[in-house]
Amino acid sequence: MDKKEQLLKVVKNAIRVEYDGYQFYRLAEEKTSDPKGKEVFASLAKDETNHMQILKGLYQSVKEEEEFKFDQVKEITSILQTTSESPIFSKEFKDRLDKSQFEMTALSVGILLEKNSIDFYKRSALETEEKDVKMLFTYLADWEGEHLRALVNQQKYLQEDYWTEARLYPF
Amino acid sequence: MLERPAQLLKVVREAIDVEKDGYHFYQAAAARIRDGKGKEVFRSLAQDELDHWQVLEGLKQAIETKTKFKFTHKGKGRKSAARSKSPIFSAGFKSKIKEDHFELSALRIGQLLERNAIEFYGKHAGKTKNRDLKALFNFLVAWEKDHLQALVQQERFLKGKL
Repeated sequence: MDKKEQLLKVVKNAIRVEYDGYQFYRLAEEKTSDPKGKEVFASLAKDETNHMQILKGLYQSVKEEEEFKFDQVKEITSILQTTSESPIFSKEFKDRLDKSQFEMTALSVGILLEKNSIDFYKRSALETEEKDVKMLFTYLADWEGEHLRALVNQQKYLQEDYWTEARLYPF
Repeated sequence: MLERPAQLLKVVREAIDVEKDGYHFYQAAAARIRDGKGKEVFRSLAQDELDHWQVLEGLKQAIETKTKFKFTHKGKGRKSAARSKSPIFSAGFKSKIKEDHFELSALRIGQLLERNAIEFYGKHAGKTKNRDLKALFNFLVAWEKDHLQALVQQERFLKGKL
């Protein structure tokens, strides 16, 4: 496999990684009952769509053997307040936790997906020799890192109460 | 080593979370999937995770009440689907699917969850000297590997690699 084909394969995998994130956040948006959660999951899905668009642009450039410039990419903009203790769900959501088991799963699966993306982008950034592609992958790893921080903070905020709830079993 | 009850309880709680995540994810995915067989298999994957969750709740209770835990769950009771070329979706579904479908993402997310579970149980099976607990964690590793194999095989089939 030559360098071009190799890079195309990596970019295709990157698009898949983003697509899976998009699909999962759409599912989470649909399933959560918390209005703030709905809004934030929709925004996370939109971020992944934006990343997909950038990656599709890169795919096209590589395919057409055109130069790809990283400075075409915009600054990270997100509605996520990553440092807040409850960046995804409303604070009142904590009181309804006993009825909201899917949301805890949405956070755990989101965390797995983001960690997977970050690993993938960091590894791909190390493996590529193209300066602008390396910068793009690093930028995407940073952006997914923002998502990860928000999900982890939210999980920490909810987890203690979740485990002290009396019974959360469906059987 | 995991022999201290507080440590063991922490691991079992984490294990319950692993199963719970699998259960909720497969349930939600089953509701979204359009293929009849796919729906049924995702529901059955959810049921497997629910069974594991139940076994782990028994273990948690045994630790909390300081009673002896005996692992008695022998067979899986269901034939492994992983041997079929299209173990999850109907064979005809392949002609309807395109690269960008929820179903392909569901297969990949499922793989991520199963790999996470296998790694978790494998790590903790190696840390305990308790024979029953080791047997339970190894049993769960084998079962989740079966799920993983089915998910991988299904993705390869849909992408035309089988």
